[in-house]
Amino acid sequence: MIEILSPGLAIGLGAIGPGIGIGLLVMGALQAMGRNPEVAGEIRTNMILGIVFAESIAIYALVVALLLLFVGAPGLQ
Amino acid sequence: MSTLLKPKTLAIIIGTIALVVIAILFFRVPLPTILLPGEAIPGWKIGSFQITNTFVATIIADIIVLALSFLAVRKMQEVPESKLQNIFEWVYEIFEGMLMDIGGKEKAKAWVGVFLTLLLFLLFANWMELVPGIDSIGVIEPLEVAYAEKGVTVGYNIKHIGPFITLTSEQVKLTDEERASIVEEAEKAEAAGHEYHPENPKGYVLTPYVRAATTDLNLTIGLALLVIIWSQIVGFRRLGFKYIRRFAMPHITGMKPVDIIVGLLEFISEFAKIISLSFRLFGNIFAGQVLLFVMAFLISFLLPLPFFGLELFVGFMQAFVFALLTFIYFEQATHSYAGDEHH
Repeated sequence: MIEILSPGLAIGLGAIGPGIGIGLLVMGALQAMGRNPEVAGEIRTNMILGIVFAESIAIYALVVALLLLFVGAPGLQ
Repeated sequence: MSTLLKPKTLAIIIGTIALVVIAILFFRVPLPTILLPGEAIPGWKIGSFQITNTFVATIIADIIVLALSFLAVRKMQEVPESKLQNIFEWVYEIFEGMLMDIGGKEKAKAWVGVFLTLLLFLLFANWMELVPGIDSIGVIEPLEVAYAEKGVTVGYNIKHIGPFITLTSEQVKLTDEERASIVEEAEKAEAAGHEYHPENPKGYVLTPYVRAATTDLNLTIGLALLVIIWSQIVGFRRLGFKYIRRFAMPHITGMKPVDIIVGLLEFISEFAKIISLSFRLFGNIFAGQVLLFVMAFLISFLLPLPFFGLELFVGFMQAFVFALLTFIYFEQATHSYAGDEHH
């Protein structure tokens, strides 16, 4: 049971933070684009970069989840 | 409401629902075996080099990119008549302009080639997961052999359709006793020096000939290592030996203890970059592929369609992000921290 639960918890809990972060980031970027449509292109590039860095936190959780799922933790077996 | 009641619209809606129901009842798709490493194709060996299906996909993506690029520049014209050359010039100009906004004219011109090569290669490597036939045409082998070699525990029954063999959607699972006996028999066969062949296979497993290249960690880690090592070389070539100051006491705050720690963090973050760069690409594409598998497994009609659209976008986005981050790492490596130029 714990073998199935632990990868799920790892990715599920790990995705909360980046999810909120990406939401806030896009909110800010869209507001900025709405106020200054002439620099929308530049803001969009920076927004994508910001999303990528926020997302990499979720990627670390994904790595842990995949390791648990396919390789397994030493104590779990 | 009135448009909904038109006979044509109603017929389309009812037909779609009927097809979905038929798909649920009669056209069940087996869930492909989900394995983390690239799967070795049985019997495909060059000497001692075992060919995996992600390797095949890498070669195909390479050939596509090379062939397209070659065709585009074969007859170069100042005012291009060929559509392909036009498209390539258009793409080149868009991304060159974008890189100029980030890193300036000189750096954009220097590295737009690296950027576009990575972008195009990863684009085709990522989108390969969407092509029908990939992930579904391959070699069928007994479940017992697959368990002994790769630890697969779920197989399917097979059915003959003309000259072809196909998996049905009836799942077969190995019990604990069967697993133990398979391990024993495989060890016996190995000790006797011949390959393990079960007499009455309980089920069968499909190993596809081609599986999208970026769903294999080997490719993405390889690319990330290449990019990070290359960025160090770029730094040394542009700044000379002063580049080492980026890690050893960079001139940032002016307070020496703080600077030493910042340099250390910078050094560690080079390794974190390898991990995040490779796992971002791998994680997104691998998860996307599993998503497509599961959606087709649940209902094989209509339901997978929006996810194909999503994966088209994700595939492009991840290729773009990988190439963009490469450019940014190159650009960062050329900043001097020796404290004599910018401060």
